[in-house]
Amino acid sequence: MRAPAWALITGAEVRMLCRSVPALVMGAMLPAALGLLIVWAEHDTGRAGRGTATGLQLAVLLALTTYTAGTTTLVARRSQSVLKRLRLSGASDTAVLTGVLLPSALLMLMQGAVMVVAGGGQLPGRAWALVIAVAAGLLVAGVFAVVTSAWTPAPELAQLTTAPLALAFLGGAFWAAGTPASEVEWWMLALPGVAVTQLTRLGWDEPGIGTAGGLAAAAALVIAAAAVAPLAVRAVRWDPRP
Amino acid sequence: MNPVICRDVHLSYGSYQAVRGADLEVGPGELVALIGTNGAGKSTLLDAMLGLRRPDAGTVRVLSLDPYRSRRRLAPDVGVVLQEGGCAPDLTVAETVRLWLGLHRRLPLTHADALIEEVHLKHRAGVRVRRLSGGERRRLDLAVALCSEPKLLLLDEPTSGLDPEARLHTWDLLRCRLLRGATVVMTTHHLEEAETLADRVAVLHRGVVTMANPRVPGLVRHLVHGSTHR
Repeated sequence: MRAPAWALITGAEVRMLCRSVPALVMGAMLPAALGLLIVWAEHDTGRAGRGTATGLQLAVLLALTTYTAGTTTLVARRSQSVLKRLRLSGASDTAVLTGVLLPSALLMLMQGAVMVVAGGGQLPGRAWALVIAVAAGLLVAGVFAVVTSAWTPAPELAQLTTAPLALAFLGGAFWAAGTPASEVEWWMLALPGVAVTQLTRLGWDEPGIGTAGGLAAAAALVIAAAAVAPLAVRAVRWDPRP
Repeated sequence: MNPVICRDVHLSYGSYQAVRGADLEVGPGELVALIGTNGAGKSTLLDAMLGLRRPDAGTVRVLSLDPYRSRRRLAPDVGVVLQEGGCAPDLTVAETVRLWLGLHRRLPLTHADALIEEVHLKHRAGVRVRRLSGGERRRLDLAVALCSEPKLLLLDEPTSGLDPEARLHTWDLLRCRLLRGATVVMTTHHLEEAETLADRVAVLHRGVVTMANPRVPGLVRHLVHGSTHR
């Protein structure tokens, strides 16, 4: 029995990721280093709280590893005509996009595991909230990567074109971190960084947020992904020629 | 039904009409060469046959199916060489061929060595695509096109960048596929290639196809040169 198309494409992408020094530095080391800085800052001061610090780390990894590195990979494969060629393989469009983006998601999960170990290896009391934050955050970052790749003409410009949404993602997380959980308004959840941070706060059982607030944050992430998905389907570009 | 049928096909990029009412029919086991100047619309017409573009008007049928609607269904039966290649640069030759054998699911993965040998890349099997010469990449593109034992080969400039020896080898390889029952449509810039290899030649000029018999001495040359001076 052979692996499905998306798994074969992911396997090839993982190989290429491991062989590309710039991709490893920008996609793996830089976000991990930033995340570790947050771990140590929280370890030293203990001001933000474990859940809030985890939210910030997760936002950094989702914005830089999954979203920015994912967009760069998609644009690189398009400019090399790999996407166009893969479309002629019989694999569905979803399988091709999933296969190309999955390594960025796997890398983010590995980085997250490193953060957990660096933070003392403790898992939150409500692990399900963290799982939802990661899964829904990955979905949002992936869909946004597909949309952003459509208006990114070259891989080296991805750092530029992803900057607004990456900053909005990170800014949302920092905004939430500076606001007590109970004072986060529903409309603030429209920023994925806010919703992710609220979920990790719930996971670590921080005061001011209950299950209903966590579910609202999860719903906000799913709605964001569902709202942008049709745009992603329409906007996605397969051919290097405009 | 003929493997490739294009009737009154129109294709455009915005306001620029790349193909204007092209008619082309390719019979089973036939090799048709599509020639024309740069920007004549060859690759655009090929994209329509591959189902990557929906014609603005007209009909395209490949192996009796609408390629735009049935691209995934047609994929195992249609071998493709794109003008721009499309093999991932950081995979090796062997990894690339194995990936495509896996994606097509028609031939066993153990067939990779035979395919690599068939295109004379055995000595480069462990080399990454980005380190191959232009000609070697073209040969790898051809190996990938053959990964599903296709009934139809749609090849966009499969011999560009090849040295004379490699080109002759590619011709032999295509003739061998024709003998096994495959049908071939290929674009080329080389008139002598079209005249030597093709059963019929389709000259594309300003988006319109004129068919020519390559066995009539000088006819293809006359049509192509005529089109560039018109």
